[in-house]
Amino acid sequence: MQEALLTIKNLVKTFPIKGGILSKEIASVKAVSDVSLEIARGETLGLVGESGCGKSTLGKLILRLIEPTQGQIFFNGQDITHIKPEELRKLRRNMQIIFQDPYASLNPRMIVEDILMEPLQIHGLGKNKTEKRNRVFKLLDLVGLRRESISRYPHEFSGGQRQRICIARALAVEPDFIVCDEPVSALDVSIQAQIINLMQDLQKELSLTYLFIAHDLKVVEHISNRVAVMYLGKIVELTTSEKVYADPKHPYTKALLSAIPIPDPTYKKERVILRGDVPSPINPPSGCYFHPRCPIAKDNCSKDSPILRELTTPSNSHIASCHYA
Amino acid sequence: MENEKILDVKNLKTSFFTEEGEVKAVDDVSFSVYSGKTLGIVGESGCGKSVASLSIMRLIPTPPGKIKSSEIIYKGKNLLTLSSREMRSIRGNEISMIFQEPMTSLNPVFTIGNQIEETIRLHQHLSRNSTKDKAIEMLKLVGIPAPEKRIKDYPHQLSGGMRQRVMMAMALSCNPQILIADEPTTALDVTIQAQILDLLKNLQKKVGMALILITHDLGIIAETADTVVVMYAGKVVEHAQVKEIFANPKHPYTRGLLNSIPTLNKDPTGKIKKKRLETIPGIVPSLLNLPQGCRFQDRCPYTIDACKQKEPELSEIASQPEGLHLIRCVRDI
Repeated sequence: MQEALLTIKNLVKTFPIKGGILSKEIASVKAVSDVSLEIARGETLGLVGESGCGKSTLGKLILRLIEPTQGQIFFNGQDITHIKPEELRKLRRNMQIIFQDPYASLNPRMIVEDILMEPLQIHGLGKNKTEKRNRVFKLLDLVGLRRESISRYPHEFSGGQRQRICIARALAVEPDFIVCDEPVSALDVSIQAQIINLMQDLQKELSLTYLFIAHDLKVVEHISNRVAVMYLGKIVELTTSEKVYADPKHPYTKALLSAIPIPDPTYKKERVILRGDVPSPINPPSGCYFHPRCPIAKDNCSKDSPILRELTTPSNSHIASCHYA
Repeated sequence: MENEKILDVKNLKTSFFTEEGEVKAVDDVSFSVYSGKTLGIVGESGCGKSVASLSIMRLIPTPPGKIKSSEIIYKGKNLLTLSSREMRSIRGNEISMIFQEPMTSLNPVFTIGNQIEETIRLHQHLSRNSTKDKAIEMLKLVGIPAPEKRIKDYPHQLSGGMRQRVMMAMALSCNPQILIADEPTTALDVTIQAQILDLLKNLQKKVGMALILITHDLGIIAETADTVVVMYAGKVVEHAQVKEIFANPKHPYTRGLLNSIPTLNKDPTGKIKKKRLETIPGIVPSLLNLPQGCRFQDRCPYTIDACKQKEPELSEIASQPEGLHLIRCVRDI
């Protein structure tokens, strides 16, 4: 494997639940529990899971947009878990985020020029106004928007175009690493394909590293080198995107894959339909978190919590947490 | 009862009159619905698929909206000429609808039992006790565990999938002949989506109703629909049986849609093919400012001069083994 750009070790995030008259902490939610990952330079790591599984929280933890409860984050070899706000701001030049909703993540009162200029000003990029403006033009070219767009407001654009503006804003500071939090799920299929292609082109051109968070396995499989599957705050399977599709080991991954509707009416498949909903993370089930919904659960699954273990050699190519994988 | 034509929508035209001018949201759309069968309507946002279904239910806000000309024949009656009172007795009773957002379509201050009972009370004259029993029975039908207890829950106490089941229980409580499902699973996770679609199919088999399924997901269409209508900018561009449309898509827009989905396909050697996604360039034209001729011309790879002169008619492709296949395109590609 290549040199790791980002390493996280045993990351935990718990959110307190307050209640009563004195707003005491009455319970806590473990949104992310004991997650360790490595992302190599230039790769795309896909992160999938159902709503509430902690995938977005993990993305925000990595960027230190929220503070981890336990664990460590290394970026470029440097431990960034506890660095000061000032250093953190400098670091943000190297790590950016693209959000799901292009409607909510752009300030409706700012024109595109100001939106794209702001990061340049904050990080002191470009000597004068003309140079900054040239950089903005380059960004617009890069993401396939017309240069006239510079004086328009976000509401004048369609969803796909707005997502291009968000991408341009993230790229303005020339980052190495971008967390993409469901960047295409709000878009129509034909527009989605345009944005995915754009992101892949940009990755090649600018040698970017992505953490691509999505609930759509088809999209994740398409764009990622490796895929991590999360369930209730834990990673349950992590392997290359070829293997996750061709040879999934964890029953949850199998169920997720079989739930995807296939656009071919002649294709008949055995569908694993999971019973019930995702359990509440406030009070997760004993043993393996997945056992109440698992089609192959046995007695010990409700008692012993499985650990993430290596299933094949060479190392780090396929890990899953299931007693029967 | 199977295969009986139950709803016939003829030349539906629905417009919204705004300050900038008339927006023809649905422009000359026709389709038929057969009992026990599923009609799928696909298209991107703004193509008019939801407006078409709201027009059937006569739920278009007027003004600014208006159904300009059409006949919607349900059991020999034209729904558009019925009085509001007559329409009310059909809506929710014989034709009912489930919406995309189960979070916003339920009233947060009433229990779910209350809301299901309201529908039953309105349309079926049952005693108070049997109304309640019926509501419990409906919740059981859609697979909600412990319905006797759940009936006292408020919507916020349920998960998204459970809320969508409650919506379905409400929609099905009066044994409708036609169920319109407008993006019923878009807000749900994929495992819950599989549960809900499975449930819809089973219920359809059990009660023999016709289903109009509106979605943007071609995967869902392939797995549930019998007949497919593809809409683009307010018009039907292709209409065929589901097998035909996936095996033999004729309209460039349908082809573009099919090619832009990332698929999980293995080639014969078991290796996964990863090719670049094909895209449809550009965006859907504004309905206020449509080009002359074919509405898809700016995004179409096959445009010729003829496309820019006259809007093509929806016409039949000759002798297809899978039955009727209509497309709106001048090219034979």
